[in-house]
Amino acid sequence: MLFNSYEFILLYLPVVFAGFFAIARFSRRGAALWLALASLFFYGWWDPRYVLLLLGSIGFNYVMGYTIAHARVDDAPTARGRALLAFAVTANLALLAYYKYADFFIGTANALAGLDWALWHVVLPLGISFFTFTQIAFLVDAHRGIAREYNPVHYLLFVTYFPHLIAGPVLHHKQMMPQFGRAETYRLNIANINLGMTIFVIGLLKKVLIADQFALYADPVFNAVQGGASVTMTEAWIGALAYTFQLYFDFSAYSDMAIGLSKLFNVDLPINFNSPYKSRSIVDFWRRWHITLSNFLRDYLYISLGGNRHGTVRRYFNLLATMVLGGLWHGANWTFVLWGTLHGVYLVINHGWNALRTRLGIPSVPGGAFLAWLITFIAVVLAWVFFRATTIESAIRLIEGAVGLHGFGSFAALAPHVPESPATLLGWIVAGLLIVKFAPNSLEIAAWLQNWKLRGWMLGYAVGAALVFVMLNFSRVSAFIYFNF
Amino acid sequence: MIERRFFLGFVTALITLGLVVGALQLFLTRVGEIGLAHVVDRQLAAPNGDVLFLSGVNQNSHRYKLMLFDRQQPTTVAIGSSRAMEVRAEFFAGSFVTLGGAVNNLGNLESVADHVAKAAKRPELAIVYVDPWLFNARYTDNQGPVPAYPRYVSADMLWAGAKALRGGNWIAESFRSPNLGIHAIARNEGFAKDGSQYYNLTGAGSYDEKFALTFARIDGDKQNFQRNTRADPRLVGRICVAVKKLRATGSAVAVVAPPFAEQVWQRLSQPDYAYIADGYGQLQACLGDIPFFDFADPAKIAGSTDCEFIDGLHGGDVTYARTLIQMAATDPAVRGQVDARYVADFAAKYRGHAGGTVLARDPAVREADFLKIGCTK
Repeated sequence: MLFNSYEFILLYLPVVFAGFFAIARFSRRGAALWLALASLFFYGWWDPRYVLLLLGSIGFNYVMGYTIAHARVDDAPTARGRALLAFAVTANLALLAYYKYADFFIGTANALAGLDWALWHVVLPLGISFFTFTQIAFLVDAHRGIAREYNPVHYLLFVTYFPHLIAGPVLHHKQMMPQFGRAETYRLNIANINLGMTIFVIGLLKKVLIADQFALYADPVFNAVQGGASVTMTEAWIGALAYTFQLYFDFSAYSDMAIGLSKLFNVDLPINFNSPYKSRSIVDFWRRWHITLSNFLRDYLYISLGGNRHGTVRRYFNLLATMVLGGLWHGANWTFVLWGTLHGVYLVINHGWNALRTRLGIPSVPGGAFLAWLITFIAVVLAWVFFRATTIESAIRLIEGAVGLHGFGSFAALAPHVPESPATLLGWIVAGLLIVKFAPNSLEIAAWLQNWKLRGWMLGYAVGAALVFVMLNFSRVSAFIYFNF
Repeated sequence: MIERRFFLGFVTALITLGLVVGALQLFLTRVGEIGLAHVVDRQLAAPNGDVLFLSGVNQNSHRYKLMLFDRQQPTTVAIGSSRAMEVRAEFFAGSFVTLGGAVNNLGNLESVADHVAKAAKRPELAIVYVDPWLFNARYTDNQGPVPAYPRYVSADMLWAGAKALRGGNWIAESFRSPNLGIHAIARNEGFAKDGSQYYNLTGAGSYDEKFALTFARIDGDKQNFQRNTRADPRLVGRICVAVKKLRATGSAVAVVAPPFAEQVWQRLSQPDYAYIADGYGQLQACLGDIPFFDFADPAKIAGSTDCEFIDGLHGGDVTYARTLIQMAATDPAVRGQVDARYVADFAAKYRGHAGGTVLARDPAVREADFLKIGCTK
């Protein structure tokens, strides 16, 4: 079930919302269970068979987490706990490997060794990367003594909670469990309803009116290079920029909606985006883009690999390895590996430059901030080409176009691949650029509206009208990009 | 207090605007923009051509045409893009439906062929009109999904409805017109129940004046006219498989390269478009004994002129009548289905016109020189 669908907004959400607060009048535990069961229904809407897989994963990890936590002695980890943790994490990764990477490994082995093993064609269960990572973090937290609450209903809800289940944010046990335990969560809060609906509607507007529009410009260009066509410089940049904006507006819209929906139930989800395309360095970019995943990779992978504790070279290796694996997490394709590697290299260069600059005392120069933003933005855009392309060959073909190897191509005779007037296309691209560079993000807008002096009936009416308007645009409904990961 | 007012405003918007949207949903369902089943019901209950249908929003007729086919189970079916929409039921002795417009890319052709091949009552004759861009690797729309027909009122629908008001008060007209769909109501043109399209060709300047729009697409290397020197053998192979699937289920099959207007064909005969001849050559070789009729060059159609075209790439019904005469002359399966006398009389009587069927239905109608190429009509 998509957030941007009639069945979700007109049926699912009102029923779940009303049921939650009605049951909460009598039993908080019952309300939490209702929300968890409703979340399982939300998940099962896609394919009911995979609810069992999800429940199996939850049951296994709950038991393992509980056992690992109780293996601690004198509030300190033990060897037995470490062994249990290693087993549990391996089991989770094995599950992910089977469902997500089996064909990738087989295909790679075939290509490298000239084998002819048949692919398994395993269907990727929705959200498996997210619920697996969420629970790996829980296991590690249990081992570290950070996860301390083991209410089974709350744990079920923590993993399945529908606003985040399919595409994140990646949650921490310690962030969520206390919220499920407190009494205020189970009381209707009109301020939270208003704020939640406002953020949700902003997310819907971003997804339906902006992200899906950029998809119309990005898809034809990427489809063309995938079909073997060469694209001009103009076309290549239109395709790359359109996808850059599509991905941001799409994914951040999902995060907005998740945060907004969760707010209706008085539960705060962590911020996942903070105007990433305003970044002036790649390091800064990863502090603003998919923040919960970045934090996960830092806390549970980079630091586990040794972080910056073993010298500069090892630190750079750890960075690179973290980003390569982060890339692979996004999908079973070498394009994602290359995308992660590129970002790893970017980060190494960025850290190296920072160190050099400090050592040599290189001062800031006028226009330096803009130049830093420009370099960062272009680096990110070029990396997205690998993220979006389905093969490395097609990505390289597009990059060739972007650097002018297939001619410039004018806006006047634009693009056999982009069925749009040049003025409209240029307008969207420029608007996208201005928005990501200068406009406040959704949460800043929502916070501003919270304090707006004219806040009241008119603003409420405007938010309601915006919801109706965006629902009138659901005919162009499309899935979220991050559902694929 | 502020929060209560905000919430009240929010709920008020949902209720008031929800009621408006509900009313629009009912109205647009009545005029045929929402839900296909009742559109087809209304058309089938009336004589062919009495109730025209053309949505103002969803111009992809794939699902609609398949529904027409399923409900009528015709003896003869035409399969193709909009370039197969001017073949009329009147041209055939038995029942006929054209799926023209259902095939906008190769994936569509495969699914339509699959659908027809699995039909409860398979047609005796299937005429497949193959556009050259289907085997052009540079044609980027070759795998596009088929949009669902709307079930709910949408902003696009309201916008299209508002824009259509510039051409006249179609809302008032909808209470008088038998037609369904905003476009059909506003312009009195659209699909009849045989799936063929009736154009309103009485006003000048409506379409492709002097083929300027088609030439712009050719010059721009875009919108189905992407240049290429070679056809993609894999794409030709897929077309061939789809066609053979139809024959494997027992239907006689004829494959047609539909015509371009003469002036347009001159432009497409250049080396930049060598893939067209290459692809049709490959296709013919692959089809084996399945009859193939190459009318891409309209000079191959006896008596055809550009005045009988709707625009640069769509022949009118007179053009298609002429092709059927030639096909029937050499192919017994086509001969067995075509109403030869009617078609011959029709082509003779309405020569020089693009929409003979409309003129036949209402002799008072006068077709204009809408292409502005000096046609006397």
